[in-house]
Amino acid sequence: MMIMNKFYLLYLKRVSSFANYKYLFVCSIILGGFSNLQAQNKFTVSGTIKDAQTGETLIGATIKLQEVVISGVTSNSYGFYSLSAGKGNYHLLISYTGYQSVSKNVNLNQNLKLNIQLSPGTNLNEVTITGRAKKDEALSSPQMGLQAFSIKEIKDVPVLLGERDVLKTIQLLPGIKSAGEGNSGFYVRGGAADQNLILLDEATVYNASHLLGFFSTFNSDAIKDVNLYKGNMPAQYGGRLASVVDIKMNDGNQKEYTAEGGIGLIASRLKVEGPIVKDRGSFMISGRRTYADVFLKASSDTTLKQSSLYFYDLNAKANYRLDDKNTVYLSAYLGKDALGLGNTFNLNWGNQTGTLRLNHLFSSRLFSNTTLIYSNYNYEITNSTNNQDFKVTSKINDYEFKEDFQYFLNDKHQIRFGLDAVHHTIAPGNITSSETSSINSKTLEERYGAEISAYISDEWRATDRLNIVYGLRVNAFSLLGSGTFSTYNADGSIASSAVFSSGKLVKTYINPEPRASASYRLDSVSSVKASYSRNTQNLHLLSNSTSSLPTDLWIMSSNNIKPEIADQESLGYYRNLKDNRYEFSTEVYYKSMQNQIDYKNAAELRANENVESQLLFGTGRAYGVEFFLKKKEGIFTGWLGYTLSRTERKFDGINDGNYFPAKQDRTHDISAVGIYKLSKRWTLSGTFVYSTGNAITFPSGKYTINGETTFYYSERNGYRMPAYHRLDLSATLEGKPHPKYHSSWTFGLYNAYDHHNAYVIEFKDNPNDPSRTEAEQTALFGIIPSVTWNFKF
Amino acid sequence: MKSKIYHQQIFCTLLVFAMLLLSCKKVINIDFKDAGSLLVIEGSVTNQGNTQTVKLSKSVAVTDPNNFPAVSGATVTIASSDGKTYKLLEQTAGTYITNTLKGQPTKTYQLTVVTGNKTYTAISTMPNPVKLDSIGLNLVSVLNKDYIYPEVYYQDPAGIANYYHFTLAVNNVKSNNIFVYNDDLTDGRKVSHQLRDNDLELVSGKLISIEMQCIDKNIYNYWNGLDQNQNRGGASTTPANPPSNISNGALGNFSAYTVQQSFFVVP
Repeated sequence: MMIMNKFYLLYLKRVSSFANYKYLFVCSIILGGFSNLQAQNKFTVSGTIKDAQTGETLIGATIKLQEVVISGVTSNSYGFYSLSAGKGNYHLLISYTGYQSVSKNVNLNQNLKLNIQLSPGTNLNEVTITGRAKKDEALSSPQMGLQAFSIKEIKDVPVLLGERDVLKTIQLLPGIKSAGEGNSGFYVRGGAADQNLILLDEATVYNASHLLGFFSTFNSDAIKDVNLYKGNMPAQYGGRLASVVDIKMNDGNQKEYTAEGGIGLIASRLKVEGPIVKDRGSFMISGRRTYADVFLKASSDTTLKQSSLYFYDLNAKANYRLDDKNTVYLSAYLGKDALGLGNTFNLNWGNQTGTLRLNHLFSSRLFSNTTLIYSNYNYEITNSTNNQDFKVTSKINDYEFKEDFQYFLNDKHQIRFGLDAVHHTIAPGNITSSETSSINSKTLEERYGAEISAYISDEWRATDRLNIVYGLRVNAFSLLGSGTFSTYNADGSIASSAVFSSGKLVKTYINPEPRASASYRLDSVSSVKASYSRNTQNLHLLSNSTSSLPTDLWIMSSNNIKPEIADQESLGYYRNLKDNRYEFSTEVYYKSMQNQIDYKNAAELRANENVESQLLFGTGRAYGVEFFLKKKEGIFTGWLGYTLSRTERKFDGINDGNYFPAKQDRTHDISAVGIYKLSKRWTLSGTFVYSTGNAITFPSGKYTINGETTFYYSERNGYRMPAYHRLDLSATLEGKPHPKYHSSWTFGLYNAYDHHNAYVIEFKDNPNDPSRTEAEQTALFGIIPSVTWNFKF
Repeated sequence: MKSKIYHQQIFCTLLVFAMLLLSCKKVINIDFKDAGSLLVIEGSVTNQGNTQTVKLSKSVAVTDPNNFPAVSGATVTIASSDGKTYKLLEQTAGTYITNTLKGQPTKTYQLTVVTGNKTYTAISTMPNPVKLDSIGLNLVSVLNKDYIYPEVYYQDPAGIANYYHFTLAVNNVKSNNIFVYNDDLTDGRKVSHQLRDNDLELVSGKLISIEMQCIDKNIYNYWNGLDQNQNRGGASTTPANPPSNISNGALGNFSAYTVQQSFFVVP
């Protein structure tokens, strides 16, 4: 309690510095009440859950005491759990999807440390026996809008060109929509693509796409686990309106050295992992590289020969248990894309992230995680054409410190609190050129920002039916000097300008973000949930193009740009069917958004020091209902998702100030995923997606200018693209069992019935009758077969 | 401007990439809305000759043929900042001309059109001309195919904002592309631009004609707005009507610009 009180005081200091008494009051209630709640004769069992074969920690395993009806916790991001109960003999039940459940007898007459290893339950015949532990965490947890899965669960879902991709798999879940054909970008509950916070081992990944979005930066070999929050984020997350995608890398095998990899049509992968010291520390290094450029090199065409078209990813992670109470983790990611045409033009971009963490156990009930994070995204354009040579560089980078505490107070309360401080630097553009170039050298001022957030939340088992999580995150953002900062008139001219010296506060915004959710168990198989959350966002991606480009610019809140704010309310009904073999859930949500950003007509967003003068500000709203049915066990598994939704925006100066549908407004969205274990060696799978076409602006009239047919647009996004649908198939053949190695073949068919989905629609004069206009659609991908060979030593 | 250069390059690269994939096109049916008939004004004052033209027409539905009805019987005048007013007469249906106005750089011109009980006005200032130094040809080889692009050269005057619009025609077939540049990043430089249009095959013996227009800022915004609507490898901005300098909701523009022409035959 001493430590608790100390942090409580520390926290109060933080909060009171924000001088918001209302929230101070809430915090006092959260913490104040606890001192009395400590029952005298309760003991704690705690430890870490690991994979018995690899020593990899397991995230989200369920641990409960069979004898206590409402007990039950899930292991945290580091596999740690802590459970308290009165003195006595119990059965501790541990279960995790894809693993054999374990039951341990525990005699709780003192605080116990119990590390548990689970064996993967890969044998089909064993799957039917799941032990007595009910996998009903989804029912009783108050968390809403959460989709959690391990890479193992999605490994059989078919994908484009044989590259498994978590960001594309999550697009098959209700409420999440693809940004476009083959695109790893996505929209969550009506939010924009930049309103998703994508974290890789806690580091923000600013551009999660390779090759203009066809692949994501996440090499699935290196990834362990993915949690996606559709707006109802727990208080420890913040900074984006629509979602958090929290991706954790593999820790590496603690028992033995292994190598695995794959050779595919477009990329090859290799992962090596093993113990640093057996059962004490391990490492993992994983790499992936595409080789489309190898084919280019083989071409007889000189331009193509000199062209580059590739990306690579390197993930590395190491962990070491210093002692029973301290474990350090170091993880790093490096990814790069290179796109070049001949020797005249090159575009390279990439992310680098690094995370250093210390897990520390203050006691069996207080778990802390101290993290230092570096994240960088940059691009570089080089043009060497005669008289036009220039080089443009741009970057965004973050230095971040996080201190997170999980306090397992007792069997009723689990408290989480902490602090998150980030320093942002954005270099919007630095142009250099030679003396003979048409183009002047120019450097846009770097922008600096500091973002400090403090949060606290309590997961409270109020009754054996009612669980509540409530909390508060307070975010303080400051735009910092040095530099010249302007405000703008409506016509885009400068209204005022001021020069700030280094480190001076230019503008500060403080936003409290209250969050609460509750679940109520109706009976042993069903529950209802409700939740409210507020999120704010101080980093905004400027992109007025219909598809995202690596050169899209991040910009911070400023005198002109206010923090984006979203309030989301949701209600849900969860039900397990057929002895928990099926999981059904439905959620309705309503989200209102403030300070949304759009662009003036003919906006100049690049190399423009007055780029903020090109923006329009408005509001948005999104609402919908999502249905999700999942079959979790048996030889046939999969899910069915359906979303009925609407998302709209409202800006002065667009559509006469009326609401118009956002680009990603798709009324119906259906996805179906099926995986069928045909035999011990063959697995068949398929996905089907159908969605209403994007809202889009098409002409409603035409006229002539300079002898050219020119189109007239009457309303924003008043038309629809044709509906999108596609079937993907895949078959995996496991190699014959061999003591030394394992191999498998995966055959894929993307767009199996070769439906030509519209990627763009253009209007032009009919070549046979030039006085008529026709609409021509371009489809990007027809049917695409793929084959991948995977191996493991 | 730089954005335009690198946009062009990015999309060019994209295009190569897209060609490597199996992209396919087909004509589809769209149920177009009809925004009704709107007035379109296309007017100019140039420093070349004494004849200035203003064309009035109407917009039509997308599904209609490209016959844009002329608007007759309007009152069209151009007032110069030196105090003179010129009345334009309807020569053919919808085409109004004056034969007595020669535009002069630095002067401001105001167009007034009265038709259907409504008055439309627009203002444009003719900038000082910038000399078109020369034009040349540039060879780019993509996928074993050679593309020849005309290239223009000029010295941008330092310290003042300049805006340029080029038109390109090959054997009198006009390019559909919009070539419009400012000097945000090229101020004071010796500037060159490739005028790329892959629809126009530049082979030996073809006649290239290029017109360089020095325009004002509003007209730059107009052409730039139109240009942003153009699809570039699937990455256009959300299309919108370009910002017009004409009042009262008429479409089109009124531009006072300087003209230089250059012709040559592909060797």
